Amino acid sequence: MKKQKSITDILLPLGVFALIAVLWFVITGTEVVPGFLLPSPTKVAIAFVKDIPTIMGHTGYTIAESVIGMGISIVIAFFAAVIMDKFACIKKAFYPLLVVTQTIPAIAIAPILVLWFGFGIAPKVILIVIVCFFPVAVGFLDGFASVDADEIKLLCSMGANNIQIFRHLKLPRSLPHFFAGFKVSSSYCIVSAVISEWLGGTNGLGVYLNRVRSSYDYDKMFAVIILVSVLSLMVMAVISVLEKKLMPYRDK
Amino acid sequence: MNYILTAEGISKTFDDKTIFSGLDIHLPEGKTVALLGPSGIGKTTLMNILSGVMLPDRGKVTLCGEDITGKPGHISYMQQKDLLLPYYTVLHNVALPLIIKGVKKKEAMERARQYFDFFGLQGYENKYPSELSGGMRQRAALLRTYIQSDKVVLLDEPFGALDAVTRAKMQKWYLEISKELGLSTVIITHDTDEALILADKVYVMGEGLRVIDIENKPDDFELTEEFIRLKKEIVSLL
Repeated sequence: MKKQKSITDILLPLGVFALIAVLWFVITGTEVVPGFLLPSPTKVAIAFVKDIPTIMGHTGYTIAESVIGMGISIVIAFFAAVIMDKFACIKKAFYPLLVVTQTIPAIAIAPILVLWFGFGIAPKVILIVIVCFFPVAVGFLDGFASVDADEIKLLCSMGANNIQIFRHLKLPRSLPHFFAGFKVSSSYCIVSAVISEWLGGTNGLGVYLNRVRSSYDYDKMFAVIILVSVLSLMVMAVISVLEKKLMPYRDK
Repeated sequence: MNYILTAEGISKTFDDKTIFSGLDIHLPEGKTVALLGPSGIGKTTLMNILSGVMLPDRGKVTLCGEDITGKPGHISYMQQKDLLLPYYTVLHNVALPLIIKGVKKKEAMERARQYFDFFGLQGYENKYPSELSGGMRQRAALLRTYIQSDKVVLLDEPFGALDAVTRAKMQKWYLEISKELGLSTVIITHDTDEALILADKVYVMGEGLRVIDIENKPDDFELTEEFIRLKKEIVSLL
């Protein structure tokens, strides 16, 4: 049951992107909008190429924060989900708190985290964890709960203990749910890092964005905005590859 | 007669409703008995008791003379659904009972692999269950059941979900392999034909329990007059 992507599936969205690019060229070329407000695509490209060494340095920093933050999120989410799955009362007690963490506006809490933890990497990582932890934890929880009671009965009849039931049923069953949450989280994580850097830091794309905004270098700003999107897309692509690798049976 | 599995004086009551009282089942070694009856008569309850997953109110279950009442793990039990895990290959699924028992994965898979030819599953070792047809999945589930315990297997409507043609093929196939492996089988079914084709002894669970022995089954038994006669008799009992 392999899903074949048809040519139109690829061409249609590409066409939309191309249309936006053309519009951008036309609007800037005809100077309907003044050049300093909306730089032309060529200007943005030139700004990007000219400043590549600086931008790459900041990019590395932002990626490092995101990877560390995401990694910590996954580890915490996994153990929290295992504990909540095992003890229903803990789930009842803590689940509302998890939901509440999702309602906190990241942009408001970031300066406070800077105040508490300084201008280094710590407040960025903490913000990423706050934002990214929840979808992953919910993914694991849903996955653990999706195990069929008959499958548990089958493994019990084989004499399986709890660890074996977890290893052979709950963990593999949770993978698709985990990846669904992981993808949502990953799309947030780079943006969270950038926001956090913007609101207080010494390194990273957020700091760079803030700096070029202050000096009215909107061409550079646009370049980095596009870069942040591309980075998020790349992260999602990496996750898709990982997903295929870990769940080869999904394509069969 | 040498019985490998016996259940004597089994009684079970749910919420003041007596499912059965003083029930006796005897499974001769290397033979197949069928429990036949309409839905809701307590066939699966009886299976749960035989496999040790459920305790009877009274009575006891013995396997090779050993009391196994309420002790799971001695007899393998194949449920209606094949319950093959979609994320494991067929070989890995089939080897799972050995892996659970503590055999190393590699060795368990090697041991399981030896049966693939016999169960008609050669070439499917590294496929995933979703790539198999209904009949093939059922074979894999049966092989897993056999690897879990080669003494007695309990089958709960194993071919119920298959289409009629595949079901007939699977019944023929099961007759052959159970004879060759010397399997002792208890099979639950609500299909009179299936009970008569597969079993050496049919327990008809209707108004009370009636036992029908079928001895010296000829080839193509389902085409004989004897088959029709027995079928009529069973239908009148249900």
